[in-house]
Amino acid sequence: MMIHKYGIVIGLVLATCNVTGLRAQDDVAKSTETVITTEAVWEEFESLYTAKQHAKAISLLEKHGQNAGFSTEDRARFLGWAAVSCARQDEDTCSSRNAQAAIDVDPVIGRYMITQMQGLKEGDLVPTESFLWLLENANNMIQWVDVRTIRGFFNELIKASRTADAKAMLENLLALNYSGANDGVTPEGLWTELARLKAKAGETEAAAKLLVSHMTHITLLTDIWQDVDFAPLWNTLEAEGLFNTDHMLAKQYEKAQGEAERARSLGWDAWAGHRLDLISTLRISGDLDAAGQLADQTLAVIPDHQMSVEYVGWIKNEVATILENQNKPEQAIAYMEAMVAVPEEEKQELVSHYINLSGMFWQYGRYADALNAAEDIVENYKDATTDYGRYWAESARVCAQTKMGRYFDANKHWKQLKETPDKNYAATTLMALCMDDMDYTADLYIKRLADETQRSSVLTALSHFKWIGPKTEIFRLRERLSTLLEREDIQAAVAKAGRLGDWPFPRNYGGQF
Amino acid sequence: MKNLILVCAAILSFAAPAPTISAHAFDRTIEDVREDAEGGDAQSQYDLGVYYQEGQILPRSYFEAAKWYQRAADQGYAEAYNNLGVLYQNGLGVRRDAAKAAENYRLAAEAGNDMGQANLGGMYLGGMGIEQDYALALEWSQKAAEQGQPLALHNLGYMHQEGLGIPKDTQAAFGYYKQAAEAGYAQSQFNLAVLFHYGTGVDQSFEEAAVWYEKAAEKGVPAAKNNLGVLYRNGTGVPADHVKAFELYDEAANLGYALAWQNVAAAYLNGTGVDKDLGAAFRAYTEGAKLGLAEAQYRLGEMYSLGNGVRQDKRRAATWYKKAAAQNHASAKNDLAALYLNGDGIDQDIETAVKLFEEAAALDHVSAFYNLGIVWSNGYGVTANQHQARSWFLQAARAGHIAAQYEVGLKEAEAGNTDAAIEWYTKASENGHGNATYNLGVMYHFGSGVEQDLPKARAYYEKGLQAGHALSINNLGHMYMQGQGVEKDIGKAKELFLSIADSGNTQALYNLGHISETGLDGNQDFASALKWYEKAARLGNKDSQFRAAVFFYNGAGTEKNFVRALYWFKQAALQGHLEGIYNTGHMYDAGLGVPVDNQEAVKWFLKAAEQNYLLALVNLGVYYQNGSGVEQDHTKAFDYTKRAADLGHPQAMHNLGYFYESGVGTPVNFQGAKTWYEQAASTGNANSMLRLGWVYESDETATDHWIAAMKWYLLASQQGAEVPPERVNTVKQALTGPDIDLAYGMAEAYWVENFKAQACAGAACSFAPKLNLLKPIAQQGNAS
Repeated sequence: MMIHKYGIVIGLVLATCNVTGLRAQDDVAKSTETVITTEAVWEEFESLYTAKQHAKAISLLEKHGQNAGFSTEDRARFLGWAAVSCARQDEDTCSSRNAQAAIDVDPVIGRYMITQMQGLKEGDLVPTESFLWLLENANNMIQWVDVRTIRGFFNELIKASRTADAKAMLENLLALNYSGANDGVTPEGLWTELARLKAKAGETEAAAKLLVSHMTHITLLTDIWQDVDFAPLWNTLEAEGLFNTDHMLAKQYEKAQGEAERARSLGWDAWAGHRLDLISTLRISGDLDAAGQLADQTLAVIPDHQMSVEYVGWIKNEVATILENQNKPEQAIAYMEAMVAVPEEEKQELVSHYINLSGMFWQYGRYADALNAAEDIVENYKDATTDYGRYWAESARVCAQTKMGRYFDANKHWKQLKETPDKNYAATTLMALCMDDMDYTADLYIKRLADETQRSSVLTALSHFKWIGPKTEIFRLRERLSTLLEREDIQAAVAKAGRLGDWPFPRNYGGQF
Repeated sequence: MKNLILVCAAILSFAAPAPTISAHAFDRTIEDVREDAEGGDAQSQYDLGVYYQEGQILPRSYFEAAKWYQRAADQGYAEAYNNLGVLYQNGLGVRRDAAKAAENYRLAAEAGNDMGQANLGGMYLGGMGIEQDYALALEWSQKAAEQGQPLALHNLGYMHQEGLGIPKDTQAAFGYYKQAAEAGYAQSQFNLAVLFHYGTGVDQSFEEAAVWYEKAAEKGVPAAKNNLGVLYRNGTGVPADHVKAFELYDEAANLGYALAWQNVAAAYLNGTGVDKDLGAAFRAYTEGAKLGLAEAQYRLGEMYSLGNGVRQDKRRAATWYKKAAAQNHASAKNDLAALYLNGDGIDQDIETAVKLFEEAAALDHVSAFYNLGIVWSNGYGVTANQHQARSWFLQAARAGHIAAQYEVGLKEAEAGNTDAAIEWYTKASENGHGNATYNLGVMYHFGSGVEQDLPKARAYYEKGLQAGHALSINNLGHMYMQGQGVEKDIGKAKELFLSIADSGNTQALYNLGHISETGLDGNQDFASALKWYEKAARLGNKDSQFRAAVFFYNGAGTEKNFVRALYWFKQAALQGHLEGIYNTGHMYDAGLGVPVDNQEAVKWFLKAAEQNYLLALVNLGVYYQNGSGVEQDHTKAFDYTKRAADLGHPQAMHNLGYFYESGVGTPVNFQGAKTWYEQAASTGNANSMLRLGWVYESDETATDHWIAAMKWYLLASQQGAEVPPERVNTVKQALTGPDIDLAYGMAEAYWVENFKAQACAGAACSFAPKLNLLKPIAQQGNAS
């Protein structure tokens, strides 16, 4: 009783059949020279660089940067990447030399390559200046620069007290309809910063208009609701319905749908990133079954050869969170364990998820497992872990140790880690709570509330969100934060920074402090 | 569930009860007795021993009792020998020593003590502390029996019952037991009851059995309580009284009688005489199992295995099955084997599983026969052997195993032995096997091995309907839907499908989707169809997965959703659904809902191509020609395209023509190109007509190649293709007016012969290509 509709089975239009009657070129250019392709150069560079033969790898790019056999664009790319590679090795002279050479060969491509040096050297405004030049002279290139990198330029300008330049940069991007490289991050964060600057400059109406027309992301909207910088806009935004919870969730879902569709042309990374947004929006909206189904469908249609892309791991992480929210923590942990049960070399790639698993272990009372995992991460995954990630692993270690009554060991680690909270404020605060170091926690919050770049995170940490799923250790530690709020010094710091919310949906990801 | 467990063996009592005799009246103070005893009076020493042993007049002390008995015995006091023997036999106040016990009994016996004689007989009977010797056992027991000693009478009964040292004589046994029983000996009362119960050596009488069980029970014999409980449960010899039965089981159980725990458990399990309570049943079986009762151990394992009365725990189930299996419990062996076979709760060990099945089968366990059939049929741990499988199934089937009867039916049907298949299916069906009934229905429905007989098929399906057998109900619904053997009735069909919609029968769900999709019931409803298809799809029905995908693809009954379409296409594909396989490739190829992924598209097209799916073959030809998603390979491009063209796919014919024309995977071959383009053109492919125009235009070796070129350009135009004007002009310049007319006539004739009927579909239409055939003015004159 099958009914087959073959309509959709029609697949390809044969592109090879040229109906204009032009025949394929029979004569092929023949050359006795060995032709080196750009792909070959990049492959050789990659293999040398991966083998840690950095000098050789950089020399190779420098050599071909001078090879007139390549196009000027290719040469500028070689030299530009040589500059980036030198910067990664902290070789400033080499970096500057190659950066200038790249610009000399092709000013546009050269400067584009230099933008990729963003974040490699603190306070270095060269990449930022290159971007500003591109923005002014070759704005078609800016769509290739991703949101995270631009955010870095913005931060550098603000740090350098060039607020007007920062504001102008964002205004120009907005005017050029910059939509982001669509790699999982939309430029809404940039528009939030622009609105902040406008509001501070007294351009209240323009700032509000900007936010009303561009803001969909719930995390940013909650930031705007609570941050004192946006206080002049609150009434307008409230009246526009921006802070209505249903509106926030619906807009975010709609946006994520559109972005996922748009991201198809950019490949699996971008597509999966936006699908993740879609799934997590459904989850925080409370529709766990639909979120679970969407996650299953998403994972099922990703081809096997793409399963190792980073975002697949994050979708799996989201599946585990959905299971937790559905009161199935054992299944959630088993799912995460299965994800990281891969050969050692692949596990390096999945270290973020391994770190999350260590956190889950201690939150659900598997202290010995948490300790083992955390120590394994700290000892054996140094190269694969950033300080930020390592601090999360350390928090699992310290919290598990306190739960196991190993206060001496916990204190030994805590003493060292508390000295550099800026490596990961949230993890440091979590450890402080596990160590019952409430004064440290309060001081850190007060310090961060006074810091414009940190206060949103703190206001969010201190706000109340709906809790779904088992009442874990995180839940209990978050409850302890309410005692902090009784302190006058905290209340004063909060009042100066903004206001605290009581939101009828969960935080997108738990565990933030 | 077994719930009648009786003890039917007589009980061998070696030792007399601890002496309660105080042969001498207690007419003195205890101080007097002690003084006399210490003064060397044997009788007083004996009495003092009794007082210490009884613990009534003096605090109980077996050590003191033994001491005083020994003193009396040392003076040859016969009763003291016997009682000292009892203490040695039971390790009371002295180290347990059967040999010393036997020796003391002997001294008592030889001194003429009837109890000592009886006990010595018992020791010879059991070979305890002395070499077993039935003749001496008989001799000493008879001596004691002559003095009316009940224990000796009991043991003589037992020897006659079992034929120990003498010919078996149950009547004589009955006589001895009766004498002892009438003398009030409890164990004999119990054994006498057992003889009445089973009619051994006496006419069966439940009433008499009840009377003697009652007497023994009153004296605290646990087995008597248990067996009396059985009589009350069955209402044999006494009025049925389940509550009383349970109370008796419970009393016996609490006296430590293992079988009674089993009966208590069964009562709780079935709610007989007590409220049903699986937890209590579990606890009772646990007690019985701990006491080493194989059946209780097995039942306990079963409760763990099923999660009855306790959290399901296959590992613990295996532990108890192992204990019961070690006692040769057939069901335990069988069930343990099943756990090993499936690796359920224990590490999978197929070899051990098969061995245990064989051991259970050797114990005539019918399910084990069946399971060995499964083992051989599927080749678990053995090389599959259908002959062996059939043999085991047959053995089980003959023993009444219903599933085995069905399996034999299946095997016979596979072997083409229709009559035998029907015979076994019928047996299984009569025993209530739903699938057997269904298979009979299917055989008559589709005439498989038998002449199609729709009324019979319907009758079997209706039998299935009565039993709630989903497959039968579905097929009955199908008969109503198709009007096969019944008047077509979509409403009835739908009603039947709906009745099993929640049973997990995916075919019924698919059929409901089909009715909604096609509007067979006069109510086409795509949303409803999708609902049914998706429900079946989630349960793994590949056809429904495919249909659900099509609905999401087309946005029928829902918004278009390519990701969900791909998801369901892929699920269907993973189950081998051919169109699902192709369409999965198509989705990746076109980047519908997901990024374009040529590598993945090719992967699925290759799977579809394995089954010669034409479109996949065509597309692979293109992929290999382009080298996208795969390494460019013109030979493969040509081969895939040729396979599709040979199978008659028009686009493949066209592509093959192009490959011949361009030399892709083959040397350039204009004739080959013309052949395949012409085949494609004959199906109406306008592009092929265009290419033919070009090929003829270029092939100066062909006769009248300009005329032929014009013919194909005209046909291409007629079929709706845009013919490049420069091509038309070039050909026109090479032709005279009559040549053009000739070409036009040839084209028109070709069109009339091949396409007109279809193009006009009965209406008026004509051959009217949109080409400017007017020659430039300078040439028009020449042409005319």
